[in-house]
Amino acid sequence: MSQIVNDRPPVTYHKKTFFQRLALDFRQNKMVYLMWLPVLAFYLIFHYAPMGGLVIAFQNYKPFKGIAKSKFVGLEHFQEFLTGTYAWRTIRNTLVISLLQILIGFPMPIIFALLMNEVRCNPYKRVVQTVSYMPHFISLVVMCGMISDFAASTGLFNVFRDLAGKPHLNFLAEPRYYRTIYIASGIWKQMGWSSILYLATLSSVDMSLYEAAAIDGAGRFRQMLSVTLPALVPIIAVQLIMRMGHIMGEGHQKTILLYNEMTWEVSDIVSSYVYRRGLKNNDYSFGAAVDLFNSLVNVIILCSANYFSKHVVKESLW
Amino acid sequence: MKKLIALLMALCLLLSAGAALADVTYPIKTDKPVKLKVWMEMNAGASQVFTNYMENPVYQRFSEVTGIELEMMHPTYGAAGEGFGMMLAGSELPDIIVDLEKFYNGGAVAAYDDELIYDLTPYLEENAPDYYKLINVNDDVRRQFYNEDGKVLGFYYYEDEYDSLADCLVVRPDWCEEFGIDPAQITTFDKLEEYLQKVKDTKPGVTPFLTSKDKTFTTLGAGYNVYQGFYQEDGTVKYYADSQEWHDFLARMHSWYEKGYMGTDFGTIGNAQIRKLYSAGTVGCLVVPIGNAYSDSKASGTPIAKTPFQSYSEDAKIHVYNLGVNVNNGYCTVVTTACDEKLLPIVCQFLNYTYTDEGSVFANRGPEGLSWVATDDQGGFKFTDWVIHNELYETSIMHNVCRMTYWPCKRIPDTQCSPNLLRDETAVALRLQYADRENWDNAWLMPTSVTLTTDENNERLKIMSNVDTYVSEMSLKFIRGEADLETGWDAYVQQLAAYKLSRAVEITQGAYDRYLSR
Repeated sequence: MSQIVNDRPPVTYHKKTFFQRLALDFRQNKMVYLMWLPVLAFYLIFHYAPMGGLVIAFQNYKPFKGIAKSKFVGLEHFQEFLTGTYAWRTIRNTLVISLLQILIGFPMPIIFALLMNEVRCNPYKRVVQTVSYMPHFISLVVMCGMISDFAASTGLFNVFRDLAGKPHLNFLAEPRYYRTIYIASGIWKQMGWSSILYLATLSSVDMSLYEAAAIDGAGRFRQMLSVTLPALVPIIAVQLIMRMGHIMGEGHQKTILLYNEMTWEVSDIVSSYVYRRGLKNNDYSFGAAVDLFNSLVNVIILCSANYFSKHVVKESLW
Repeated sequence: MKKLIALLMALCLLLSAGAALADVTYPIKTDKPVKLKVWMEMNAGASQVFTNYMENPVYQRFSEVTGIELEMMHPTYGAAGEGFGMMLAGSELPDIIVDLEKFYNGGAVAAYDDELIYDLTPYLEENAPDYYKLINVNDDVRRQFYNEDGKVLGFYYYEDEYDSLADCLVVRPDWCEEFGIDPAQITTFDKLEEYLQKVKDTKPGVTPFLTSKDKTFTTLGAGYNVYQGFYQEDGTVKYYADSQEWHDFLARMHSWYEKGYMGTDFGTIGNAQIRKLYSAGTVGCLVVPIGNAYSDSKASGTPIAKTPFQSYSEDAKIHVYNLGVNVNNGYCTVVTTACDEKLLPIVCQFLNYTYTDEGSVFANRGPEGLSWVATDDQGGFKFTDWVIHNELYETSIMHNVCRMTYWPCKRIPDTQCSPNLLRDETAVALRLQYADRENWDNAWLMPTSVTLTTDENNERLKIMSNVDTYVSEMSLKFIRGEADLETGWDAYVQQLAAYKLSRAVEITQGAYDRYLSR
């Protein structure tokens, strides 16, 4: 056999720069980039450009004077917030409610999706899913109005106390029930809708994996643990990291609708305290300062969560 | 010769005096047409009928009568505060802003410091003679309109005649008859407790008393000489939260809670819901605006009887009756620096119209011929079909369309000019019932025109944010028994001292002393 002689000169590959690779990619996927441009513009105009306005957190901002002429006060608003009498209480309440929502509220849609995935009767499955999505469409104000009615001393919840032979009470006036009502109502409202993402992920799991597990002797429950749950780990990790990034930003709408003076000890969060404080004064600067503080804490928590997730479960946002 | 000169000088003086006293004539005479941009909040009722006040024939007539072309700017209904902020931050500032105090942090004083508005004092005497005369009628009134620097910063609502307070305690007259109680005699808390006890004993499933926390503290608290804010006793400024009067009132409310007179829902449900419960017959008495109680009663058939304000004893002297304190009720209409300074005399003449007798009727009752017609020469009138029998809208909406609600003017009480009230004699009678209370006066109340400087305002606000939060929480805890009033009161007062309440009182005292020396 004659030897095959390779007499061509060796090929040297020049490493392309980032911009060269970008240009090549653009030429190959022009449509994708064009579709992405409006999204880029949206983030630049509505998220990055307004960041310059954060300077009002360091001023005594007055809309008429504008940013240029408002007096610069440095960290005065941050100091006022953090050394305020109720600062510790509001931060504590915000963290407790957010962490409880993550501990209890976060797994519920996952468990629900896992259970729905096991249901074989399709009509029943469809009915249950539709009914579970419906509370998502009820407005928050309507839901809180319903809760106020049910929790009143003549409301629905007291029917069960009657059956147990206990005297009536107003549940929303009792600090010990506030967190339960807050989190349970959130689960009722969002569980079905949030499970859609997980159900969609589960529908893409290869059926042959279940068959292989069945052949190896795995029962239904073992299949769920070994096949279904691992398939969800990437999406769970991403969702959890994003959720952790909102810990300090707990919304004030639901709190303001449900809380009252008797439960302020456990219900008054940073947003609702600033809302009361700002309402009296139209104090844009104070509100901006507190929001900036919350955002900084959120970013630190988000980066930490991403770091741990990358090293523990090998999944991360970036 | 000397006599001639003296005569000429006297003649000149006479003529100039005559010029100063000459009334402004309407329509205002101007060299060229004047157009003014006005920013004002739309009333709830009017916002259902129009998108802009210039569609309203009342404002069109107003523009004709004054001879000024108007362009109205309105914030979105329900978001007036946000709309105001956006207007200020935007490029198009109006010439006139109505009700600045409601929206601008620090009010007209701060707006003047920020160079948002003009000082109108130099223009008033000549160009707004009716307004000028009203605000200078005596020293007490003058103090309410001129600030510490002797400036009048805008046209304020002027109110020297009053209806009685709208909020009152309402009971069931049918139950009163059953119990042998006369509602007109329920003048003390003890007598009210007789009614509450009888409701509790004989009407199962009925909550004897239920009202929102705010109305309970304001209306019933007055009976214990409690005013929820800063007040003054013989010139010494005090705050209610650590006073003996507040303690006594809380003790009474706590006893009501213990005895079961007050529902366990107290503090958690709003008055709108409580009114429905009263109409359904599950609440024995409540504090409610009498107009609302009357309309609920007509709709549901549940009868009502107004009671006089209750006090802690028959011969108690109450000094916090919140009526007639403010001739200047605080709402200020200002002229912004966006307006050409040369136009200021014309603007003052324009805004003066609603302080004349004719203009006051125009603003409060509406234009003659459109909203009302005279029935005799003695001032009798009736409202037109456009208001009372409008094809599209109820009178409860038209009464805010047919007149200039929120516009600065000399106010006429509603019982003399509101079509919604005047169409029903019973409603008017109810509103005026028990207006004069013996032993009740407003001696302890401070007018709203006791203003603070911007720095004082900021300092006091920081203190009061904490104080108000603490007092709100503790007052409900004391009433519901979660904190013991007798053993916990001293700790409560000490905590208020730790929040520097005394410094807030000191600041207010300084402001009040400056006010008195105006």
